[in-house]
Amino acid sequence: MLEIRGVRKGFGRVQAVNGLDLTVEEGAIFGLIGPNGSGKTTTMRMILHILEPDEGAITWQGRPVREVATREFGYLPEERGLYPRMTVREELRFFAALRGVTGPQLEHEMELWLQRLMGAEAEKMVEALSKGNRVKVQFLAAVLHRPRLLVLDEPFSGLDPVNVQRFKEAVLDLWARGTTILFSSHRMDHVEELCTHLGLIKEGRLVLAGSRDQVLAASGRRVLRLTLAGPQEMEALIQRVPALGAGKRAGRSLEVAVTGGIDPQAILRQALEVGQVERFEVGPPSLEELYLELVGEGVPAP
Amino acid sequence: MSPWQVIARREFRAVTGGWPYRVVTVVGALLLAALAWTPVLIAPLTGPSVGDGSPARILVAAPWELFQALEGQAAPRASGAALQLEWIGAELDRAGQTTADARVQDAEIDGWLELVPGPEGLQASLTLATTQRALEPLLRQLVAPVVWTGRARALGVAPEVVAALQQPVPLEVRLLPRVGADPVPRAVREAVSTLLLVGLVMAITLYGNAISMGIIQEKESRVAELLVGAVPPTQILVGKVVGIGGAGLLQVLVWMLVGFLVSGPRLVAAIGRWLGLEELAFSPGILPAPILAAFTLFFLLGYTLYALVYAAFASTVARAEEVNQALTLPFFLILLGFAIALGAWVAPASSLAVAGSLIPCFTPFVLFARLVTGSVPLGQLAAGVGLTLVAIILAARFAGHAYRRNVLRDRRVSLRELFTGREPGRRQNPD
Repeated sequence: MLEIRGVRKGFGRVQAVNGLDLTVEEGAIFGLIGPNGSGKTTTMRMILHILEPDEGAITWQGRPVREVATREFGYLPEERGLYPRMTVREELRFFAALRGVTGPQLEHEMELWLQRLMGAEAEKMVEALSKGNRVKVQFLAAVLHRPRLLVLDEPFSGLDPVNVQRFKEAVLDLWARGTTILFSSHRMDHVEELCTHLGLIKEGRLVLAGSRDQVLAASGRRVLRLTLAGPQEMEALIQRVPALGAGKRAGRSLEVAVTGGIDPQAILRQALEVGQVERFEVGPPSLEELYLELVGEGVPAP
Repeated sequence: MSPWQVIARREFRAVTGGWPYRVVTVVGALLLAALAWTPVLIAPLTGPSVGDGSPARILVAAPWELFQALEGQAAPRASGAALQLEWIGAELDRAGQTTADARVQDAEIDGWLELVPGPEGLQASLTLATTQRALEPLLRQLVAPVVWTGRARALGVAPEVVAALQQPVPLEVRLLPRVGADPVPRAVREAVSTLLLVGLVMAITLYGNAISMGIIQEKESRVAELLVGAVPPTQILVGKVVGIGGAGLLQVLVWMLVGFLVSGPRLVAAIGRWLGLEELAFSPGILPAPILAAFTLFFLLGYTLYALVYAAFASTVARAEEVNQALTLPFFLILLGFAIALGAWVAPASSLAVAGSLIPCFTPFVLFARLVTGSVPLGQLAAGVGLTLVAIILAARFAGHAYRRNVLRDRRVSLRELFTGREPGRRQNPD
C-alpha cells in the first residue's frame, strides 16, 4: 500500500502540493486526475523520491519511498526523453542495468515486450524512431525490471488510437500480473475505462478519492441515457414527455439528469411506444461530467 | 554492477566511441613525441646555416686554379647547399675590400675569402658576418688542403702523397647531453614544461566541459527525469565523473606512455639508427618520468574537483546557450590557478606559490608547476594533495545536492540559490 500523509511541496512562492493525504491500495489501478498545475506531477515525483517533500511522509508498504523507489517502482514521465544515439536494445539494457536487472531473464523479457509493442522498429536507433515509438521504449524502460508500483504520467499523450489501445492492454496485462498502477491523464474516458480507484487533486489538495464506483456515485445524482432508432423517434418522444427537453440531445441520443419530474420507467414505456429502443441506461454521471462540475465550480475539500 | 558503474560505463563508451576522441589521442601522442625530440628537431635552426635554409654566400678572391681547387674541396663537405662560393677575381684592392665589407654588413653576402700567393706560400684571410661565425671551421677545413697542396708543391712532394695524407681519419663520435650546461636544451625543457602546464589546464577544462554539456543535454532532452527516477542523483553524478574521467585518464596515460618511451635513451637511439639519423642517438631527457607521473596525478585531482564543480554549476541552467555564463566562475578559478602557476614558475618558493599549492582549486596547477621547476618540500606536497582530496569530497556533496535540486528545473537558478539552496520568495512555513 502506498500512503501519502500530510505532504507539502513548494517551489518559491508556488505551493504545488498542500497537505495531501492519499492511499493507493496494492493491486489497484489508481487514476490521479486534476487540472493543469494541480500538483499531480509533483506528487508523482515525490512518490518516486525524485523530489523530497517539504513536510509529510510517503511510504510503500510501511517503508519510506527513498528506500524502495529506485528498485521497486517504474516511471514513465510526462516529458519524454531518451539517449538518441543508442539502439532500442542498448537503451533498454542500460535502464534495466541501472536497476540491477541483467542477464538471460532480462533478454527474454525484453524480446517478448519488443515483439509485442515494437516489431521491426526494435532494430533501429532511438533517434530514428517516431514519437509514439519512443514513448513505447520509455514504457518498456519503466517495466522491464518488473516494478511493483508503476507510475505513468500522461501515458497516452502523443499516441494514435491503435497505440493507445495497445498501451491499455499492456497496462492491464501488468495489472493482472500484480503490478499496482498509478497514472494521471486528462482523458477522462481512459481513466474511467481503466481505473479501479481514482483521486481528484485540485490546488495541491485531494478533493475526491475512492473506488471508481464510489467516486462516480459521490454526487448522488443519476443520469438517464437513451438512444432510439432515429432522430424522428426521439423528437416524437420529447413531444410526449416535454421534461426531456432539458437534457443534452445528440441526434437520436439523449442524456438527462434524473430529477423529480423524470420517471425513468415511464419514459421507457413511452419510448417503446414511439419505436425501437437501442439503449436505455440509468446510472451515475460520467467521470468527465463529474470532473467538470468539481473542477469548474470549485468544490471545497471534504 | 552498481548504478554508478553502469552510468560510468555508458559515459566512457560514449566519449571514447567518437572519432574526435581518437583523433585527439593520436594527435596528442604525436605532439608529445615531437616535443620529446624538440632539441634535435630545432638543432638545424640553432646551427651554422642561415635561418631561411638558403646556402651561405662567400665571395672568393684568388687565382682561378686555386678557386677551382677550393670548390673541389667544398663540394663533398658542404653538400653544395650550405655554402655557395663565388669567384670575384684573382685579388681585391683596397676599394674592392671596402665594397665587399659593405656587402657583408648589408647582408647581401655572408662573407668573403682572399687567397694571395706570396713568397712564403699562400696568405689567406677571411671576413664573415658575426651571425655566420659558425662557418669559420668549415672554411678553415676547405682552405687547409689547398694551402697544404701549394706548400707540398713548393717542397717537391708528389700530389698523390698529399692526397693520401689528406684522407679523413676514421673517428667514432659519441655525443652526450650535459644537463643544465647547454642553454638550448634547458630552454626547450622549460618550454615543454610550460606546454604540459597548458595541456593540464586544457585537459581539465575540456573534460569538465564534457561533464557540464552532458548534464545540459540530459536536462534538455528530458532523459534526466528517467535517470533520477531510477538512480539516486549522487550516483548519477559519480558515474558521470568516473566515466568521463576514465576516458580522460586513458587519453592522458596514452600520452604519458608515449612521452616516457620517446624520452628513453635506448628507444631514441634505436629509432635514430633505424632512420639513419645519428643525431637522434642521444636522449634529450626533457620529459622525465616523474614529470609525466605528476601530470597524470594532477590531471586526476584537478579534473575530479572541477568536474564536480562544473556539474553543480551546469545543473543551474536550462539551456545549452546559458552554460558558458554559468561556468564563468569555475573557469575564472582555473585561469587564476594557471596565472599563479606561471608565477610559481619564476619563483617556486615564493609565498604566493606556497599558498597557491595549499588552496585546492589552485593546487593541481601550482604544485605541478613547482614540481617541474624544482623540488617541493614533502610536507607541502602532502598537504596540497590532502587538502585537494578533502575538497573533492566536499565538492561531491555540494554537487550532489545541487544536481538533485536543479536537474528538473526549467528555469535558471541564481548563484545565491545554488549555494544556499533557498528558492527566491520561499516561505519558511507554508500553510
